[in-house]
Amino acid sequence: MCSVGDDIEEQENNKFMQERPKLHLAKNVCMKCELKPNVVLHNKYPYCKSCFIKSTVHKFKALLGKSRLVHPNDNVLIYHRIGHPGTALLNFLRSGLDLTTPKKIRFKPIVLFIEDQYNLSAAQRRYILENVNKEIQYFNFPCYFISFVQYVLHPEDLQSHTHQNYEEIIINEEDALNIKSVVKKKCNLTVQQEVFKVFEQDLLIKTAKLLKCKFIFTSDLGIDIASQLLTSISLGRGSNAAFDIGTVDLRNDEVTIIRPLRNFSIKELALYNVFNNLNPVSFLKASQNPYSSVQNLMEKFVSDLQINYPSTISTIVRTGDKLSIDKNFEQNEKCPLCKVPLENTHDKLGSAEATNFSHWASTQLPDANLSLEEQSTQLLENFKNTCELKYCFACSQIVDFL
Amino acid sequence: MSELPITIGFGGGAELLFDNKKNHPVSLPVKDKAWKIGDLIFWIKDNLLKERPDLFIQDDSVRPGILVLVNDTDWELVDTVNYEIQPNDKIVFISTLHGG
Ligand SMILES: [Zn+2]
Ligand SMILES: [Zn+2]
Repeated sequence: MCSVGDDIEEQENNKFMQERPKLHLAKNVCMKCELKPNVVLHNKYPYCKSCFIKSTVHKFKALLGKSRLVHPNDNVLIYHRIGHPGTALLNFLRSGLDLTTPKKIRFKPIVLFIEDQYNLSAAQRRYILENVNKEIQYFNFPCYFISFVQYVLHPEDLQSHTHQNYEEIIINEEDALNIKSVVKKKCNLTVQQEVFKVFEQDLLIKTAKLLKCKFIFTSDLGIDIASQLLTSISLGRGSNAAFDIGTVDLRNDEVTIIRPLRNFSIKELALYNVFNNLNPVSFLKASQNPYSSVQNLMEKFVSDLQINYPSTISTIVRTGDKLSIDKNFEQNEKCPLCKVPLENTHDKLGSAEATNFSHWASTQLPDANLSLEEQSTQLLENFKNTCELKYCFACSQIVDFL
Repeated sequence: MSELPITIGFGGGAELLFDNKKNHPVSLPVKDKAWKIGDLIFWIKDNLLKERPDLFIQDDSVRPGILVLVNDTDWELVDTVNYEIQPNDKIVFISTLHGG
């Protein structure tokens, strides 16, 4: 769209952002034990293999310990996803549970895998499921499988979609079409992805309740959080942003979402897996067009940042950390879709409300018996009554497509 | 010695581009100049890579998001593409690109 001047801006930016920093070591030895290093993090912190593994585990424990929310014997739902972060999370938990020292993990993980690869062939999806099952069995956790498509089509029936045996998961070749039937035809990919995100959040919370878990652990990394933050903001979900990115998401009263990997980079977790001889389940993803939706675009934008300006990711996350929930709204009724507290209706109209107002006003017939002044007072009164907020701003934009 | 024997490994999903095979013992033909990892990347592309070269190579190096280990050591500690390959080195390429 506005391509004029973009080049100039690029050059300007280069002055201020640090581009792909070169390796800069004070000393070429492990910073803990001074032996020969095997890994360098952030281009300047060298570690030997054993100190690297120790410090990675320590970082995980420290982040968990800081939240101090999970108590011994609490059930925790582990939202397992395919990839290095998911596999690393399972290994952190397994090795923490197997400890015999006082640092032993004392809560009870229950792993959940949501089968949502409906764009792949049925054979590929079965292959993935089988291997995910093998992986979870290897770590010896109780686990449950749910088909995302089945849930979206029949959300009221969660119990019957929840299987301990992965072979009971229903897989149809037409699933990609089936799932799109819940959104109206004309909606674009951005709306579709937003709607599915709402379903995913709902599914997680409901499954946690079904399995008596007060907590959910996700495998989100800093980079996922940064792209979620920018997506939320660009979709008018400013009020979701603070919930979406924190270590702890308290949006739901009964279930708390915790993101114990948010301070890790993908490199740390991939190497942690390699040094522990763990190889995550893998499959070739269909390549996605980054320009087909706001979410895909933000994902591309953030991964490009990660490559060219890696330090900006933590800047985005840290900026996001400063966002907080408006205390005035905290106790308000919640948006039924995304569960953020609804904002108060103001006396002053925001830009969204002003647009609604002018649309609404132009469809009203004036009462000719009233003076002009009375007419406008009445118009305002009626408008206030019609715009009782039922959904937050962003959800009110997508609810029509459901 | 007329050949340079090494082991090439793939992991984290990178193996999918190579017939799903994780370990490839190979012998590189000796040339006048030393073999660098930068040369090896193109040799792999011509000799081992089965599909989607864009998922493995970008410009003169591996695609960002692929980690390289030389004998269990981060290649960033040994000058990345400029590292001179030694006999019996084990060079491993780990994809970190997010799965589903
Ligand atoms: Zn050390
Ligand atoms: Zn909402």
